Amino acid sequence: MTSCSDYFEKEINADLPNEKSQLAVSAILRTDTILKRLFVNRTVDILKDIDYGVEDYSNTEVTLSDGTNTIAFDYDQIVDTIRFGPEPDQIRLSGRSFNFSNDDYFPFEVGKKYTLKVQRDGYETAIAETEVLPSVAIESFSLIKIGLNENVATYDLRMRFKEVPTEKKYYKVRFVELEGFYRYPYFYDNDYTVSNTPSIDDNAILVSTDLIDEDTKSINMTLRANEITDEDFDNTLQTKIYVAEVSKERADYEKKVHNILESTDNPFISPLILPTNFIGGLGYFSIENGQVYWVSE
Amino acid sequence: MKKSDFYIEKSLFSPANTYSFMKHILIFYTLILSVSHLYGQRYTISGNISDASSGEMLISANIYDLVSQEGGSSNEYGFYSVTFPTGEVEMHYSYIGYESIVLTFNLLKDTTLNIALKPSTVLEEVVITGEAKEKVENRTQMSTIEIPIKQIKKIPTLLGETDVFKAIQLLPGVQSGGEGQSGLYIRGGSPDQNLVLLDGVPVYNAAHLFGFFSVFNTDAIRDVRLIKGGIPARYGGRLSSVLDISMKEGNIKELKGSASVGLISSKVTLEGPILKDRTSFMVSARRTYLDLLARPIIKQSYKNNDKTGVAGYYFYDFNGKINHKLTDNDRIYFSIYSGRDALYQNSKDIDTENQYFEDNNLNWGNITSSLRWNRLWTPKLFSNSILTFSRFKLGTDFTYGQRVNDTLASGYGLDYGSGIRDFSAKIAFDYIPNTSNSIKFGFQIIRHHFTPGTFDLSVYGKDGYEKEITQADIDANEYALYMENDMKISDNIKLNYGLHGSGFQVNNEFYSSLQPRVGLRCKASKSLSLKASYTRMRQYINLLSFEGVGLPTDLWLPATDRVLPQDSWQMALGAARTFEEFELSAEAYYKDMTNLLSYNEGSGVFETGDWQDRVSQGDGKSYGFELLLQRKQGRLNGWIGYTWSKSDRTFENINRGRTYPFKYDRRHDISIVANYELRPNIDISGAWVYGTGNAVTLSGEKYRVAGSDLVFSDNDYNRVVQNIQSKNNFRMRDYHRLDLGISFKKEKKRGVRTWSVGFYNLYARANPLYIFLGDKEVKSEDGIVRYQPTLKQVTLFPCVPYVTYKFDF
Repeated sequence: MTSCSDYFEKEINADLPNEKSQLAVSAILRTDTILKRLFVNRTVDILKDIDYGVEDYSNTEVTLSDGTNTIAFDYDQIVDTIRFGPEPDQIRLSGRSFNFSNDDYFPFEVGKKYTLKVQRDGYETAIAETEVLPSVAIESFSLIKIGLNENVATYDLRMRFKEVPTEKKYYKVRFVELEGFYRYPYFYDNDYTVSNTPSIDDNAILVSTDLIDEDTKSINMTLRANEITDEDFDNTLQTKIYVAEVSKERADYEKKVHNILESTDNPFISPLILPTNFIGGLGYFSIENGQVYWVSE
Repeated sequence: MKKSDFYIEKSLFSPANTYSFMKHILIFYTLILSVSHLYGQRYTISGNISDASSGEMLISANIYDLVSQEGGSSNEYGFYSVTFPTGEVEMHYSYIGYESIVLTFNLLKDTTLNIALKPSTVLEEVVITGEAKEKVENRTQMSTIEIPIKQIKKIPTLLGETDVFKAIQLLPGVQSGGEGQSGLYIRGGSPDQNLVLLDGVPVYNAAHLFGFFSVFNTDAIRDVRLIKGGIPARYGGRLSSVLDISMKEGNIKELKGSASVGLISSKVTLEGPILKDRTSFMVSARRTYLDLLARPIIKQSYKNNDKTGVAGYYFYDFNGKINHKLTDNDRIYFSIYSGRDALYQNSKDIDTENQYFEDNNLNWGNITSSLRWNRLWTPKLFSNSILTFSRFKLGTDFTYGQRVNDTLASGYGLDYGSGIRDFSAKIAFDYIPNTSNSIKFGFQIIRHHFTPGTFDLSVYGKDGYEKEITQADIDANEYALYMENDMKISDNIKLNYGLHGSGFQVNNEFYSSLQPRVGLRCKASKSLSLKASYTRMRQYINLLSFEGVGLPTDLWLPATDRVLPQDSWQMALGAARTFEEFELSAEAYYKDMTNLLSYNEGSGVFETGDWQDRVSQGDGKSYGFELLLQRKQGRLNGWIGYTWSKSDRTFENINRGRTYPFKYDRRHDISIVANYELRPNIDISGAWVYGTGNAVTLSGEKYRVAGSDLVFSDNDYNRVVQNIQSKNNFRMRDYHRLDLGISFKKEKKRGVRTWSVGFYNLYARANPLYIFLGDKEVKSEDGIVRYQPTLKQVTLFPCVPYVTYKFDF
C-alpha cells in the first residue's frame, strides 16, 4: 500500500507541445480618437516566468495600411523606475514597454478593409485584416434607480434602438465614466437580466441583438455597483456609455478571452483555443466605430 | 447428457380463429422476406427454457435436432420455436453452465415443450460440463458479448463492489473514462450513445458516486448482453451500442436470498414464490453507509467550531420484480428500479441570537418501471408488450444566511434542477415460421419530457428578491417501427437483415429516418466463420456533458429545430472460430458519426441562457480492430482482449475547425481476465488492464492579451493566456493496473457463506486522473520565495484492498 503524501498529486516532467515563439498582438483601434495604440508581445515557454521587463521590442515594425495610405507605429518604451531587478542599478522596463502608438490622422471609412502588419527579426510576420463596421443606431438610453442593498446599488439601463437590425449583431457596451458616486463603482458581470453577456473588460459587456425586446426595441440591462454608500446612492448617477458594433468573430474572441481568464484552474471548463485573425501570429486586430452617449438617471 | 432429469410439459396447440388475421399478415411478411422452403408435412416444437432450480427463463439456450441437424435458440424471454418434418426428432437442449438434455420422440403434431435445465453443479456454476450454448461461429449476430453474471461477480473490483459496467470495460472495443469511472466508451462513441436497458427500460444516468459505480446491483441481475455493432433492427435510438440488462424474475420454486456486507455498502436480496410455479417475486436493496459511520466524527467536528451540523454522501438502490404466469401461454411481469445519490452538508451556529447557517444539498437519481405481458399466440408467434416509465432527476439547493433571533436577516439561496422523464409503450413480435427464418417486428412510442435546467436565485433580507431563470421544458414524441429476419440461406450462409424506421416530433419539427441493418455469416469450415455487418443508426436525444467528468449535472436534451439528430453508420468485418474450449473472434470496424453534440469551447457547467447557444455540432469517426480469446469452461476460464483503435472529432467551432483526437482515443487496450478454481470452494480471480494514455489539452506556451480598450492596469499583467495549438494534443502516461481477488466458500447449515478479499491496483501504479498546470515554491539564494509554473499529475487510487462477506440461503 502506498501512503506517500505526494502520491495523489505530484510534479511530473513531460515534453509539452512547444512551437516556435510567435508574435501576439492586441490591436483594438478606434475611429473616434486620433491616438492609435496597440500592444505586441510574444509566446514564451509555459513553464517559465514571463519577464516582461527586460525584453526590448524596439526592433519591431508595426504598420497600418488601407491599401493607399500606410502609417508606422512608434515603439513606446516606458521606463518604470520603481521596479528594480536583482541588481540595484539595473533599471527594468515595465509591461508598458510593449506599447506601440501613432497619433497621426488616418482616414477610417465604413466598409473599408485595413491591414496591420507586425514584423520582428527572428519571428514570422503577423498580418491581420479587418473592416470598419457602421456605427450603432441608438435612439436613446434610460437609466432608472432600483435600490441599494448592502452597499450594492442596482439600476435598470435601457438601450433603445432606432430600428431593430434584421441580422444578428454584437455590440460592446462600456461604462466609461460614472459621476455621482464618490468612489468608482464596480459593475457585476453576473447580470441576470442581460443573460449570457460576459464582461469583456472592466465595466464593459458584450450584448447581441438576441436580447432586443421587440416591443420596446431595446435591450434591458441591470447594472449593479458595489461599495456604494447611502450618500452615494442619493446622488444623481450620470454615466458615459460607449457603444460599438463588433463582428461575430471579435465577439467570439472577447468571450473566449473572458472565459479563459475567468476559468483558470477550473477543471469543469472545456479547454479553450483562442481564435485569432492574424496570419503568422496570435491576437486580434479590430477597428471600432464607436460612439459615446451621456446618460443620466 | 442425461435423458431423465428434466421437466417437461406437452400439450397440443389449437390455434384460435381470432388470430387468423394476424397469421395472414405474418404469412405475407414471410413470403416477401424469406426464401421459400417447400417441405412435406412439418410441425412445430415450441415452449420456453428455464432454470429447473429457480424457474428463471434462460436466454439464448441452444435447441438442436440431431436428426435433421437444424435448430434455434431461445429469445430474451426464454421462448423458442423450431419446426421440423414429421417423424423422429432427437431434441438436444443445452445452456452454458447447465446439464444438457436429449429428448427423442415422434413429431406428429405441433408440440409444446417447456424445458427446465438443471445447473451443472451447485457451487461452481461458471464451469461448464455440457456443451455451450450456440457457438460463436454459428451466430449471425456479430460484435455481441454476453458475460455470465456469475463471472461478473468474480472479477475483483474497486472496494469489492461488483459492477456490471466495470466488467464490460474489460472487453475489447469498450473503454472506460477516467480512473475508476464507470462510463462506457464503445468503439469511439460517448456514453450517451449507449442504449442502456434495464428490463427493456432505458436508464438515463447509470452511475452512482459521480461515476465510480454503476447503478446496477449485480445481485438483482440475471443477464447482461452488450451489442457493439451490427445492431439488430429491433433496437434503435442510440448510435453506438446496446447494453441489455435483465433483472432476475424471482425464484418460482422456493424462497432464496442473499445478504452481503462490503466496505462501502451492504446488500440484501430475497426471491421466491408467491404462488408456487405461478407467481414469484424478487427484491434487492443496496445502500452505502460511510455517511452513517462518519456522522459522529463530523458532528463532533462541527461542535468543536461552535456549530451543529451534518455532512455526508450516500447512495441506495432498490430493485423489485413480480412475475406471474396467467396461463400456459401468458405471463406478466412488473419490475421497478429506484436509486438515489445524495450529497449534503448542513450546519448552523450554536448561538441562536446571531446565527449563520448553511444548507447545501445535491440529489440525483433514477426511477424506472415496466409492466410486461408475454404471450404465446401460436407455436410460432410470440409477443412481448411493455409499458415503461423512466425518470432521471437532479436537484440542488445551496443556501447560506444569517438568522437574528430566529428571523432570517440576510442570505441567499440557489436552487437548480434538471431531468428527463419518459413514458413508452412497445409491442414486439417473434415469428418463427421455420428453422430457416426467425422474424421479429414491432412498434414503439415514447413520450419524452425534458427539463433542461432551472435556476432559482433568492436573496433574503430587507431588500430581498427571488429570480427564476427557467429554460422551457420540452416535450417530444419518438416513434419506432422495425422488422428483421434472421434467415438461413444455406447450411453455411446466414443473413440477418432488417429495417428500423423512426420519427421524432419536437415542437413544430418532425424528423424521420430509415435505418437498414444487415449481418452476414458465412461458414468457411465447421469451426470457422466469416462475418460482416452494416448498421445505420439515429439518435434523437443527447447528453450534454463535459468530457472526462461524469457529473449528474450532465443534461439530457432533445434534437430541436436548431439541434439536429445524431446519425451514424458502422461497418464491421470479422471472423470467429472455436478451438476446443477456446473461442476466438476478430473484428475490424469503421464508424462514421454526424451531428454529434458538444459544449462550445469554454462553456461552463452552471451557465445560464439558452443551452442551444452553448453547443456545437460536428462529426466523428472511429475505426479499429478487436481480438477476443475467451475460455468459458474449465477450472481456468476468462478472456484476453486486445483493441487497436482510432477515434477523432471535427467541429466547425472547436479547435479552429480542425480535426482532433477524441478524448478517449486510445491506440491500444489490453485486458486479461482470469478466474481459477483452486479448489471447489476457493476461487482466485485477476484482471490486468493496459491502455494508451488519455488525450488531454495542454499548451507549451503562453502570452499576454490586452483588455478590450488597451487600458492597462496592474490587472493586465495577469491577462495571460495559453497558446493551445490543438485540442487533445497531449497524451497522459499509459494506464495499467492489476486487480486480484480470492474468495472462500463454505457450506453452512442454512446456506453458503463467501468471504472475498482482494486488491484493486495491486502494484499501486500511479495512473493519471488528470494533469494540470500548477506551481511550486522556489527559493532563490537570497531567500526570496517565488512560485514557478510546473506540471502536476493527479492520481486517485493507490492499492485499495477490499473484503466482503456474503451469505446465500
